[in-house]
Amino acid sequence: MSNNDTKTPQELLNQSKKIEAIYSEAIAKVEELEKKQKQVVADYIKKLEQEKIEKIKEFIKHKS
Amino acid sequence: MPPEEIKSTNEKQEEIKTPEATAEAPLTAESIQAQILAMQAKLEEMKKTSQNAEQTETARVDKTVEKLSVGNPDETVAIKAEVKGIEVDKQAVLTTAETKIGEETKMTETPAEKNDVIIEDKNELTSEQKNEKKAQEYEKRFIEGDKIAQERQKANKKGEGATHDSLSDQSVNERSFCAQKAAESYAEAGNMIKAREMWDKSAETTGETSELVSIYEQSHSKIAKEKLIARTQELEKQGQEFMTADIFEKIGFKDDAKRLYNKVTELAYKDKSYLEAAAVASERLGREDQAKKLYKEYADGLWKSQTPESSFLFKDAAEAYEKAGKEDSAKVCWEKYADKLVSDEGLKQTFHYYSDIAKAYEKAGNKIKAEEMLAKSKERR
Repeated sequence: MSNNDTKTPQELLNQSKKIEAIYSEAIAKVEELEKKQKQVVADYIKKLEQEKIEKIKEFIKHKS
Repeated sequence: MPPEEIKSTNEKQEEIKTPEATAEAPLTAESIQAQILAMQAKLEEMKKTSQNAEQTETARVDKTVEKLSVGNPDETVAIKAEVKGIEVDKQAVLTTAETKIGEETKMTETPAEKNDVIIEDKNELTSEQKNEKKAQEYEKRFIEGDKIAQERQKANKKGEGATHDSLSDQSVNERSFCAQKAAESYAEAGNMIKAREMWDKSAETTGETSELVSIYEQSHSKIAKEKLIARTQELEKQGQEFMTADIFEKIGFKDDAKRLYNKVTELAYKDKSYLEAAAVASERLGREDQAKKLYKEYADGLWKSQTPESSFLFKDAAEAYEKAGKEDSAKVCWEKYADKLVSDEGLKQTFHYYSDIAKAYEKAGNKIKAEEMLAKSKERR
């Protein structure tokens, strides 16, 4: 016999809600971290591109 | 960044609703189990997807560096480590959620499959009655296990089985667990005669020193005490003076404990490996000044033995200097420890990395760096 067989409908509903809350909370946290992870990379790439532009500008300046 | 790349996690995974939301039928144990399994599968899938995403992101960094031929290699390494660190946090969040949801699965297991006894409250039993019933169930399991163990022992004597295997170890642990649980439940039910009987049985079954100490502390079981006395003789012969003294102290043999604590402090003069134990022994003997001196000597030894790799020795030294009352030396060690952590790329991926550094800088009295690290720690979370 399963332990859940002895649970009332209200207890089952509470358990279901509890599971969903754990799941949703984890998803929200992971989503936030994912955005941050992408932002770190995006910022760095932007910085690298800027560095490259500056290098090209320097190069042109010396040429002329 | 193209918008499709910032597609949120919620969009990528299909929504998993509670059974009440997806089905019109009333909630059942089966529908909850199905919900748990679906969510666990989804979390597992997300862990893999997330790892792939992290690899894609770091590859993007590498490609850009290569394509543009710019960037400081150290900075690139640091950025990649940061991305990896965030990934570790993501995996930790997902694993924690999986574990928590898994715990709900345990709630749906058959009691017979678990070690814990669950008493159903159909007859509105009083708390004492419930505990008594619980204790009886544990005792029954203990007796059954004991019977099997005895049969096994007979078979071993006849040469029909192995003399020792992991299964017999497991059986000892289970029997000892059941006997202890029975004792605790009988005690909660107020049946102290049965409780003592079960504590004795648990003491008879187990061979673990820590368990015997725990049984003795709860019940003053004579059997536990006798076994611990025998254990002290073995340990003393093996030269484990500190551990022996510790047991003597716990079972109330104050003079023997004192004799061995003294011996440990004497040994520390000849053998420096006894310094830490000797410092604790002196504390327990109430000799505060001697303890401080020994802690200082121990900390000095750690300080001298430090190599560039051994960041944690700075921490041990810092703690020992604190106990020695040498606050300034402790601060120097905390600062060194924090600096070591900052430059440790491997540890950077651990969850408490920044908060550990913040704590160390705080202890070093470096408020600016402590706040800076605390901010990073908050940012990370």
